[in-house]
Amino acid sequence: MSIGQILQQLILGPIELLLDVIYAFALRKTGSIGGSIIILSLAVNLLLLPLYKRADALQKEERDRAARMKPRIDQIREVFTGSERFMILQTYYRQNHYKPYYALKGSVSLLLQIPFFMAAYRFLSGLQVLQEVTFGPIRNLGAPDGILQIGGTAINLLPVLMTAINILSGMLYSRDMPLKSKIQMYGLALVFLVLLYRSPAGLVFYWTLNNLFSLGKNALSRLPHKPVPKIRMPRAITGKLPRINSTQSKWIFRICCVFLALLTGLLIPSEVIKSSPDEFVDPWRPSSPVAYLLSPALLAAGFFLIWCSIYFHLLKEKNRQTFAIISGVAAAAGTINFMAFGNSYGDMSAMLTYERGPSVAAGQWLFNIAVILVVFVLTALLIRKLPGLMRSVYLACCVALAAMSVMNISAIQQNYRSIADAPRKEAPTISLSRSGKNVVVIMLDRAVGGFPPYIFHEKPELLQQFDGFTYYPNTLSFGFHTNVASPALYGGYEYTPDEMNARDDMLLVDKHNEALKVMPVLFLENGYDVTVIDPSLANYKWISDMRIYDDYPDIHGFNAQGYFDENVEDTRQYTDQIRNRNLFCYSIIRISPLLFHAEMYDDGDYNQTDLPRRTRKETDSLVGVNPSFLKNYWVMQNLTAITKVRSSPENCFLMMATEETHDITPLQEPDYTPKLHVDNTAYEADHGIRTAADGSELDIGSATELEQSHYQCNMAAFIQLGRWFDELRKQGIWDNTRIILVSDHSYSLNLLGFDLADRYPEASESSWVNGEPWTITSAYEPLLMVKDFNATGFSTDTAFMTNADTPVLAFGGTVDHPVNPFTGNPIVSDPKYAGELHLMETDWHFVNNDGFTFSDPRFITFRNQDITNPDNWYIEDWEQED
Amino acid sequence: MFLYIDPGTGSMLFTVLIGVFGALIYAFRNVLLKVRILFSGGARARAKADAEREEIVFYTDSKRYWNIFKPLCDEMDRRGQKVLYLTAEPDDPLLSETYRHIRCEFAGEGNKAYARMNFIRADIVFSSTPGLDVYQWKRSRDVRWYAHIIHAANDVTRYRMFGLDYFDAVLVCGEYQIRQIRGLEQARSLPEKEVVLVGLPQMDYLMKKRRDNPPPARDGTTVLLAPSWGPSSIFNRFGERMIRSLMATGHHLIIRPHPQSLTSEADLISKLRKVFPDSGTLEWNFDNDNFDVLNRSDILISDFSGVMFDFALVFDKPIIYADVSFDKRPYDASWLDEEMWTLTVLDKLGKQLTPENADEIGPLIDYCLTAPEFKAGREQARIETWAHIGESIRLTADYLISKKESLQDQK
Repeated sequence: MSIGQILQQLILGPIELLLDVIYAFALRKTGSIGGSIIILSLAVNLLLLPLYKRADALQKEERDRAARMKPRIDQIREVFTGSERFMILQTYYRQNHYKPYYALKGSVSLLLQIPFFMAAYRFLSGLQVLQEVTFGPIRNLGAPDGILQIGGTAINLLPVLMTAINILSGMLYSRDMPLKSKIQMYGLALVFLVLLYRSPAGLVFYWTLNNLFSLGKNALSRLPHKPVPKIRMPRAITGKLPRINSTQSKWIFRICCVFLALLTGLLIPSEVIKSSPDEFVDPWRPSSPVAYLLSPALLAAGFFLIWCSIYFHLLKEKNRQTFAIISGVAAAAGTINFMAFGNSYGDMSAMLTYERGPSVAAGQWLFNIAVILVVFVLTALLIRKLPGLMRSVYLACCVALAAMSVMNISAIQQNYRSIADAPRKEAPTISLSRSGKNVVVIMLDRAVGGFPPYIFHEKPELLQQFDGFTYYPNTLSFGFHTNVASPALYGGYEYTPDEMNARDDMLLVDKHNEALKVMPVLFLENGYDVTVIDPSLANYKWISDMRIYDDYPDIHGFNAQGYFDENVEDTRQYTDQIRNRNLFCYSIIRISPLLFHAEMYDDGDYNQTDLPRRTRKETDSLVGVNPSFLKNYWVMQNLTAITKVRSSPENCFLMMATEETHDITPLQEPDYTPKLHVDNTAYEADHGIRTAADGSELDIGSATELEQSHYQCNMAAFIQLGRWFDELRKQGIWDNTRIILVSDHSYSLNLLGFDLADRYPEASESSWVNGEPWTITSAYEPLLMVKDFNATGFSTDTAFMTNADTPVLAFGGTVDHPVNPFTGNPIVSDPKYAGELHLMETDWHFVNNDGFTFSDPRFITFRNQDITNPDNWYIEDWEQED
Repeated sequence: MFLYIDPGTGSMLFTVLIGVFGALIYAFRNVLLKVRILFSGGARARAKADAEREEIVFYTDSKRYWNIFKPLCDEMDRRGQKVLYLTAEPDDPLLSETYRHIRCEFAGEGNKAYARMNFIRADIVFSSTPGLDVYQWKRSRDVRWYAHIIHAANDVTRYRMFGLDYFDAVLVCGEYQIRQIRGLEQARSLPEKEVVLVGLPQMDYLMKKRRDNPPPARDGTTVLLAPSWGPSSIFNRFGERMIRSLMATGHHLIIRPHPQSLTSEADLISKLRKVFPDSGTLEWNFDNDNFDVLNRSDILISDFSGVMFDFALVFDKPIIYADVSFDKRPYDASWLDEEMWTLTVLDKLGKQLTPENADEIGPLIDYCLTAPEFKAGREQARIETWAHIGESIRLTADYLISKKESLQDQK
């Protein structure tokens, strides 16, 4: 960022953001692009009315003062010369409490208009949604109006109308003013005419409305004044306590502004990034995610330190106390809102969108409002009773915030250094053998075990492509999240949560890495050519740290996610733009009352007008689609391209993970492909209810978007795999290849499974952890499909399986008596037949859950090897309903 | 992949940090307070600072005011009051005086003097120089009280604009001056100053000197022509014609040009001296001290200046004044609607010289010398503008010492 850009973001950024939010909100509520301009103008003018009123009063004050002082100043200028004149004038100014820069006060309203004009100009003149939109006689809000046609020349009528209104308003305003002011007024009107004559009609329309508003205001101000009923402030602000003096008000206000700026500009954004710095790094072009803090910091500084200060300093002395108290309350309530409320909305992506989105029950927001009211009364009373103490308290809070932000930044930077050189920047290759044996394990993160019957019934051609596969619907996983559930998948029953916890002399990350090595190392030791792609959470990093295989140089490890991204530059720009804008918006949401969260969050759009899916006309661009989905989508699209078939007889092993089924996004049906503009209304109307071969139904059409997206992304993966399988057949390596499709866990979808919390009503509060329900059994029902060598036909096997069977399935007939190379124990499936199995829910974030055992575990006990029977699932800690 | 914000640890950390920083700020303030006491409030430090602080400082920009400060220094020394006398002129005669309690120092010239004055530490700074905090001479943060003494027997509004505004006290010699000061304060919304009627030291001094040096006995009438300078002065307006008609009266004539004329109007003076050389009846006078020439003259012809009041009120003799077209605009007088006291009193002290009567100067002089109304006029003027005749030094000293004591009590 250059100095100019920094200043721009600092001064104009907050106003532009405000305009954008108001406009997008109006557009969302009214659906009218032109009408929203009217609302925008009205809102901005009403917001600025007190400011302009005060500016006008200041201007009058200044004019009166100038008129009062003029005769003496003339006298002094006439009779004194040189430095004496200067010194006498200085003294005269001093006696009149006048500073020469006060002359600027007369121009405050003009000076205020400049940034607001610039921001409006920048916002509206580039606004894409205005393009090709007709509004009344205006054919295109995105271009000059050209309404009048005279002899082939188009005359723009709107700017002329605007100037007429401007001049009329100026005439009213400057009726009693000296000629100089009048000339200034009309000159300005002409300047705007020249500036805006060729501007898009939308912008001119907006500015015309502003002038109309100002005309109305000036006309009203000429009418005799009626006493305005006073708004009564709460007693905590106005009551009979001692007033805080103006210096104290000023200091409390300033410190609280710094506090709010630090909170929203640094602390909250840095908390977000710190929570997972990897996700803010493009491994293929790494740069420190600390850079993402600049924009929110500037926006916050501009908003709180510049614009709020301007507002404050334009206020009358007596209103400043109120404003200072409000700032104190805002700081206190904002902090409490951030720390105690609104943190249970579930997972959030690095594009700052929640997986589930804020949903606030009436009870929650009412409680929140009650808390805010208490904070309000307490803070206001404390500020009025002990302003000095409160000033110190706020100051201490500022220092604390700054220190926490610095700690966050340093943590982010440290993490960044550790990942910057982690990914292997080599072209991924899958090596398969034509004459030897190939064993392929594809881990589809979070793929849902219950979906395949519906998927195959909806797309019968998949049945052909998946010929040879056996589907295991009665499969269990040992956890709900990758950190706790995937080790068993990769390493077998020695890595179930219970077993992981039992080995409490070893760090979780080391046990996890060990599990990731079990299959590759054992296959390597048995002479296989081994390829590993994107192993889950390797070394507890989002971007798999392939260095865990450094001891085995013959293992070919690749980071494929992101390698095949298309529209890289556009996507990167889009991602940056979203983060630069929305990190601050997210902060503002987090300090706001719960009541407003949903409207402010706006389904993840944060009230942004020009979103790609609103403005991009070309439908093939995917800029704007969830980038982390695309990263995985492109890898799956390229499976064929990266598959190299060898004629040498060497056996091959591939272990690969994809997040395509985890980092979900809505897809366009019936092809299940990513699109900027997804519209499935028609398709869902006809195919909303999916059926399986056995006649069971799944109502995807009326499911939540979250559930729909899971289904769609599972389907997309199956379609892509099907295409790859065709290629394997074409290459003649289908029969000598064993393929295991497995997921570490599934997802808590109400569509499938059942909610154990129903049986334990008094425990329902604890059935949500980190914003997700963990008691829905579908979360523990992973995908498992296996195609063995030379297998034909598609079959379903209801034998009891767990995803910890994966190594046994992989080694069956390929490695005799497989033994875990790290523990020396045989790799077997027997433990699943034990009387009961323990499934664990724990903090899924490995950054916090990184000790020797999983923290704060909750257990589900499973018995009798049949997942479809609700009676087989228990939560032992909870008392069951009779 | 999804982000994970753990507000729990955040708020805990926040609470801990607030506690830590709160305690640190509190501790830091305490330490700061102690350090401050140690450095500025500690008994030893305070004693040291007080030792450096002067009790009373007299400051003058010119040795002209010697006739105020000399008697005042004498009085303070007699009373045993320590005073630092600072002058901006190196040849100030007071510098060669020896006192027991008074230190006389040259403050340096120009900006050096201001630099010293602007940072001086004292209970009281007492001065006859106006324009405090308007011109380069600023109020020092370490001075508790600034007092000014009037040095002419007429309007305090004859100071250049804002001349007295930033003094805490003004010592005056006439009730009408108090009214004028209050009028200015009101017009400028300034707080009321302390205004004390003490009289006029330099006129008391002249009076005493005249009592000790009675005028020499001689025949005839001596006329003193002591004009001002500039385009509206007597020389420029009436010139040769004036001198010629004065010589025609047969009186002894002393011409004493304004010191400024000798530099600004050197040509005019040398031309006049050529035309009217010294003779038995005409005498050019350039003495430093005007006492002698005032003492032996019977009537003074002058423009509009302070010396006219010395002549009329101390030497009790009539005057003829020329230019009354006083441009009030650079002065405080322009702030008050009321007519200047000077302009209301001049015609009670003598006659005005106008183009019409300039040729009739002989009869004019005779009239002024004999008319009884001027004697009464002078009496009246003395009552109005010369309070506490002969007591000004005592009263000024009383004021300064009691003010110093009350300031020290406030500490």
